[in-house]
Amino acid sequence: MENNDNVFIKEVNNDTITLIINGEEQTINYRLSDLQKLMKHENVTNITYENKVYNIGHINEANFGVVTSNKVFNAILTKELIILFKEHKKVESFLNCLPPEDQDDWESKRQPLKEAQGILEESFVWPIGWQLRRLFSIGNDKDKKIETKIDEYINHCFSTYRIALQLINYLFVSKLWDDKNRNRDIDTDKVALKNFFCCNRPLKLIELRRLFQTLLEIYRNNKLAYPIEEQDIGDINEFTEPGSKFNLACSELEKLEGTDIGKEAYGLGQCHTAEISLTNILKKFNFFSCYQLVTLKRIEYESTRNSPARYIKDMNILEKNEAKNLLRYLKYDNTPTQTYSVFFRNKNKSINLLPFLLDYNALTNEFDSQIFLYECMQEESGLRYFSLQSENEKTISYNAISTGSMEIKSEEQKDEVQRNIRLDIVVKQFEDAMNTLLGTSFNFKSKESDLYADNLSNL
Amino acid sequence: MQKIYPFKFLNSYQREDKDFFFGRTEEVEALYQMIFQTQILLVYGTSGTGKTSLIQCGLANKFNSYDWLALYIRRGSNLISSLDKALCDASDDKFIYTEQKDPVIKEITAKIEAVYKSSFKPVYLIFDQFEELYVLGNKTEQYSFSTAIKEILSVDQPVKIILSIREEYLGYLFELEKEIPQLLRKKLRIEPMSLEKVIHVIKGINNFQYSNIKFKTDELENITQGIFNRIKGNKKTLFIELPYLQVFFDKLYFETTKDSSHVTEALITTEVLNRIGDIGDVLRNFLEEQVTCISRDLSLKHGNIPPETVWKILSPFCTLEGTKEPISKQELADRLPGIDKKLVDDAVELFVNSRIVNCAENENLYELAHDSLALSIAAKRSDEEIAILEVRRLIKSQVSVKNEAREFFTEKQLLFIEPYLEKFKTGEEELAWIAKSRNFIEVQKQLEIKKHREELIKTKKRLRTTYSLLICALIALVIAGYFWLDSNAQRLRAKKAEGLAMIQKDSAVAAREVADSAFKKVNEKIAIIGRKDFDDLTERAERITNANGCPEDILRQMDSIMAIHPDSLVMKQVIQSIKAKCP
Repeated sequence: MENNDNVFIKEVNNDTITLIINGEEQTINYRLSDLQKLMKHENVTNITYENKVYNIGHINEANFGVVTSNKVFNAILTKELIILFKEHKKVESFLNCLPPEDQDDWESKRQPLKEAQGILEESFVWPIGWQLRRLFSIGNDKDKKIETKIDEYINHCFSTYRIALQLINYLFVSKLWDDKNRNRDIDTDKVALKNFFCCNRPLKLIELRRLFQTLLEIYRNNKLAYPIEEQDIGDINEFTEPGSKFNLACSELEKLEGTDIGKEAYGLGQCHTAEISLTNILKKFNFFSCYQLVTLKRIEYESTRNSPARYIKDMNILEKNEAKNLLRYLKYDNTPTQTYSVFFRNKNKSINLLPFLLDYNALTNEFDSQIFLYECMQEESGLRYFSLQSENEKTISYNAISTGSMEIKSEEQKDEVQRNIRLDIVVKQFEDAMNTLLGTSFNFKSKESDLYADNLSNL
Repeated sequence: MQKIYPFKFLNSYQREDKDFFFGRTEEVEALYQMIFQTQILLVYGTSGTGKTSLIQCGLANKFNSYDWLALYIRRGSNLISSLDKALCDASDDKFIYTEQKDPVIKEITAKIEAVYKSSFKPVYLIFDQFEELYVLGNKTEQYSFSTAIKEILSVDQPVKIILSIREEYLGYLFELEKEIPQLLRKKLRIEPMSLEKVIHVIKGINNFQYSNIKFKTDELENITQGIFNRIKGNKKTLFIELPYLQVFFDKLYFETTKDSSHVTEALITTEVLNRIGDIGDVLRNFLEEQVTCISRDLSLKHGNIPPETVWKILSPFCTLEGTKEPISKQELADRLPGIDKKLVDDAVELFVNSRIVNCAENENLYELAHDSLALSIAAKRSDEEIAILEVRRLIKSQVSVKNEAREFFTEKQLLFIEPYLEKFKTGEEELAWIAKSRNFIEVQKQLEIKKHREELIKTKKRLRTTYSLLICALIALVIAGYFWLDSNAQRLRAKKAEGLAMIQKDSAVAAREVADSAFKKVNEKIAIIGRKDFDDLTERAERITNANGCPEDILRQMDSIMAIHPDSLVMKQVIQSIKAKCP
């Protein structure tokens, strides 16, 4: 076991750590600084505890406790979030049903940990829930090589954080667009907002956070109602003050994202850091557990003589919830609504996230849902999206399809034309949002309009 | 990294084979797009197009490991049992699979949830060789499967179903489609290998740095075209079958290296290709060669084992239709009662070593490496072997039905079955059912005889009654004849009497007429006399009444005349007026 390049932790108590160095036992105080000093003195970089190898450089005050408590992947994330949601019916029932001997450390036992993870996945709005599922899947995988596991885990901490930021930014931008349409005096001339609309690359994590903070500032300065209820969003200062727990956690993740993995591979300590940071971020974004994502697949119009017109809305709720039967439903009502919308909603609020968040399958007339998140502009001819399910990028190009009367020769041609018109609508909606908020008069250009016309005639 | 042999011969490509899985980019991409647009997806194509490889290697590698939990399910002995077993095995010990006589999946929703929560990965249930449900399964199994699928499609967890089926069996999905209307909405046809795809494969192998087989770069075009043409033969087609291509590659490699362990590096040239010549039916040749080798190997240990015996041992590995059929060693021995079990076991081992047969996972079942081999094996069967298979199928299909709904074999079926019964091992239940059928037919026959006898008695009785009735009728006829004759005579007599009576009547009528006329004349005379008297009497009476007297005697006389003329109202009135004038 002994190796000059490695130090083994034998035992950890409340006050001391017992180590084996070159076959000899040595006990030091339970302090990171003491451990670092010892490692420096012995001139070793790696420390092993229960077959897990840590680089001492990756251990900091934030993850020191996790390292020395020998926690499994996701244990911190799961436990902290479960405690946060302890008032929720399912969580309450889960905690009450734990055997007395597991009450304190259920997160280190496989079955209760998985049960808790199942509850958490269902608790959050679908995109966040889906990302948590991935983190749980990576963490629970016993067959995966540890290096791959660390790599995938850290990358998914980034992507979960990214998606959470994107989602909240879409909410604020969507509502701001509506507000600005009502009141042109709202000052939206901000660099972060320009980047969001005009950048030709996906924004970095730090840029997304800056955008969120800018949006909060716009809302606060113009006394606009937040798209999320105030009691849900909590203390806004936590998001804006640089030294807040939230911002520190964000900075940790952003710093990790900046690591040059060509030079240095991620280590287990960094994995814990990412997990702790993400936990702190999600704790602050806990309002995502109060909302649903509903996609409007199709809407039909029905109007008969001497009776008011009505709309038949074919909706999909992406989250599993108590009312299981309502995962897909038809709604008859008299109020028109925006076609192909994706609503972020709860009982009191409903924000349409199109064109920033799409159900691509609804637009292309397919079954099931495929959620696309806006990433950036694709030159001047389209928009680049990120598919949450496939984790691939997809570009929606502007085709400038005429919406005038046209001769249709087959059902396939009709579907093709409609699909492309709908995708054009997405780009045009984005264009309108951008011009409204930035005060520009930008127009997307069709890259292959002539070619497309040829394609159509061939159908 | 050590160099590897990049061909899979007749086996399908797996997830870990992605580095040398070439020529399928477009289909994999189409499949990947489709899987996000539906919950149930159908992959079809002719045998040997590489459906299994496309899913298990191509599609699987499009997903990250945390987004893909594939359960590959083959029918085995029963599709419901196999599905249940796959779910239980993947449920992280939450459910333990137990074999059932009439397989049904209990708590399917809970099992799917357990499978999902064991890994937090979307679950893909992949039913490979789905046609087996229709080729080897019965109605009950097919019905249970559609019920299970409907239930799976309604669970909350992210679950998708992929059915892979040979296209000639698509029609069998008619009933399933009625239950699951979205079944055929998203489907992908896998095309056989075109020349273009063969070029992709060969170029891919040449570019794969860890491949121990390379094709001579400056002869690449000729080699590709040569391989394609040799496999295509005289057929007017733009496609070739993948297994043939794989076998051909294997031949090329062996021809170049003579190394059956596939370790030596090989450079394939046109010269090697030309040496092989026109391969014709490569698989048949391959099989013939392997069977000859196996027969030789078995002979060393078991005495003289001719190739015919080896073909016989191979026969149970394929169905009557020439598709592969998974089988256990025990079942194989049962189906070959005339062959020593040890010999059968050794033959199976050699089949596996020579890549003709694979050992199917989990179930300890053996099956042919590919359906294309099955056809060649089926073609080698004797008439008797075919008849035995037909008998086996007949017995199995009848006995697989539940007791309460099962029908007995008919006499004709028993006559067909019985000569072959000793030539393969039948189960207790099957034998019992044959015996029962025999008894049933015997009982039926006895009943038939009894019924016939009763019918005969009844007929005799009926005849007796008929004869009696006939005699009665005859007697009645004679009597009736006598009476008829008698009545005829009487009628004649009556007729004569009637004639006489008529004459008498006519005389009477004439006499009466004469009397009547005389009487009338007398009456007329009396009436004239009466009238005249009455008028005289009236005159006399009026004179008396005018003198206020009452002519009572006259009135009496008038009444007498009146009696002669009772209808005369005038006389009546006159009499009354005279009476009225009387004081």
